Amino acid sequence: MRYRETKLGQKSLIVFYYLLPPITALLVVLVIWEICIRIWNTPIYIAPSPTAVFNRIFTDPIFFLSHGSVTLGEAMSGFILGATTAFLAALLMAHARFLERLLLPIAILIKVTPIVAVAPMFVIWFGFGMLPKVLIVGLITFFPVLINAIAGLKSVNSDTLDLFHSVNASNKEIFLKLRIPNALPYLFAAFRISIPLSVIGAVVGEWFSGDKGLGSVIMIAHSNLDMPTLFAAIIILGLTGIILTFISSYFESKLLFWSDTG
Amino acid sequence: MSESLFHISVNELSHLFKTDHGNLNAIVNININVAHGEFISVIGPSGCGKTTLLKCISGLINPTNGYVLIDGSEVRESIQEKSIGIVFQDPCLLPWKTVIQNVELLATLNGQNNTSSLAVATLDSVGLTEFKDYYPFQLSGGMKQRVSLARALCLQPSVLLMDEPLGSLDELTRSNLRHELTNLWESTRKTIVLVTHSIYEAVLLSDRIVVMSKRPGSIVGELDIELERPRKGTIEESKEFQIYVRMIKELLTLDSSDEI
Repeated sequence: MRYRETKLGQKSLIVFYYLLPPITALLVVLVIWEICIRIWNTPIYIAPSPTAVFNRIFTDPIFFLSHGSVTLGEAMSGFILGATTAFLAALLMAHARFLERLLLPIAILIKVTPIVAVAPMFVIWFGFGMLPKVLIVGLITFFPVLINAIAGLKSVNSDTLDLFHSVNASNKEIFLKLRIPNALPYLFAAFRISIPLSVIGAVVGEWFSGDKGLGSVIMIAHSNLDMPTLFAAIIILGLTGIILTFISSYFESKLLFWSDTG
Repeated sequence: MSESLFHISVNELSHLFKTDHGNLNAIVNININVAHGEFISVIGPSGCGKTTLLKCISGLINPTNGYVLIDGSEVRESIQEKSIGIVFQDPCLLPWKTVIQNVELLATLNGQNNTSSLAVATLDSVGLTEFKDYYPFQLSGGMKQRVSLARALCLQPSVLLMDEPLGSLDELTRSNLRHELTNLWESTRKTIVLVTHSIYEAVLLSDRIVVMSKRPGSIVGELDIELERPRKGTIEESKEFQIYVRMIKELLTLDSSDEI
């Protein structure tokens, strides 16, 4: 009984300490924003009040939901594509140093090229559908996963590696039983960078082509000076990023309970 | 093969590391013979190549010169026969596997069948049965090192190589584990080579102590420890024990005064 009480007490404490402050801060910002708009009587085509933005969202939630899910789909497919390719490339590079010397410069070249500069080209090559966006997201999410995966695959304890060698473990066994599990915390650290990048990539892709997704909603709203819609799209994009990061953190804490990096 | 006189025979072993700053002689002309069931300690100042010697014996390093025979055949072949268990200072447990899974893993990779019952038995012999489903991060340093020992024993090795296995433990855990190691050896009589820089530990555990010089490591002297077995906790207070400790100290200081 006592135990239960302390448990309950702890739970309300967690809510109090970790959730209350950010929620309060957010509410204060919204209230100040609303007051400023009303005091200065700012026209709605310059900046909308929070109530106007939420009003816009809730009068037509289906509109935002459908465009949001298009962007989310592009971001996720692109992320899966980019992360998988990066992981496979990292396996090759961790396996043979020669391959690392061969391929890593190309990866760095991709990394330093601004994605906005490449995006228009992708439209010419891959049309107006989902494909160019997925590829742009793949490109932007590739590098963080690649670098971290290489580091994780390589940074195994040399004594542990010796133990594996002492029982004549094959290279495949060393990768499966030692290097890949060892790389998991590094991978999740990369996901924390790549997941927000995937949403950015999808929006940039939508700016250049097509009429679906929150990126094109922003472009159209911008040219119409439809500020409530523009702000609504931005807010939904932000929320998407937060939710995706939370999902990744959840899996990280479940899968990597043994890791002290999480 | 088991007829060969020595279990481990180190012959004219030298090893040279090639580094960016030139060559580094780690060990020079080492000769050691270890009988079946003998407990031998290698002691020397830090950086004297003890670990290099141990890695050569285990076949993990291919020495520049000389060779190591185990049961009369080259160590590289012995590694094929999988008869060497190794314990490092770092327990090297895989953090994502439970205690029992850690103990089993190397044995499974080693191609042994029915490792699970053996793993349970070895874990029992180091007194960790009830912790078998714990993860390494839930264990103390001493417990982790016991798991590491159980993992080596699970390979059913005829030779056990230990590189400062108690080096990172606190004094109390150390002394407990020392006595457990003594008991373990006295009941199993495996051939053990222990690398240590604790004179006290070497005298307590070994049949024979090999003293090495500073780098490049070579053998300065050998000493048979003829303390009666089973060795109890009180033995360290005996006069003979103190004499052995002093003799080893002299061999070690002899070397350093030579160099100056």
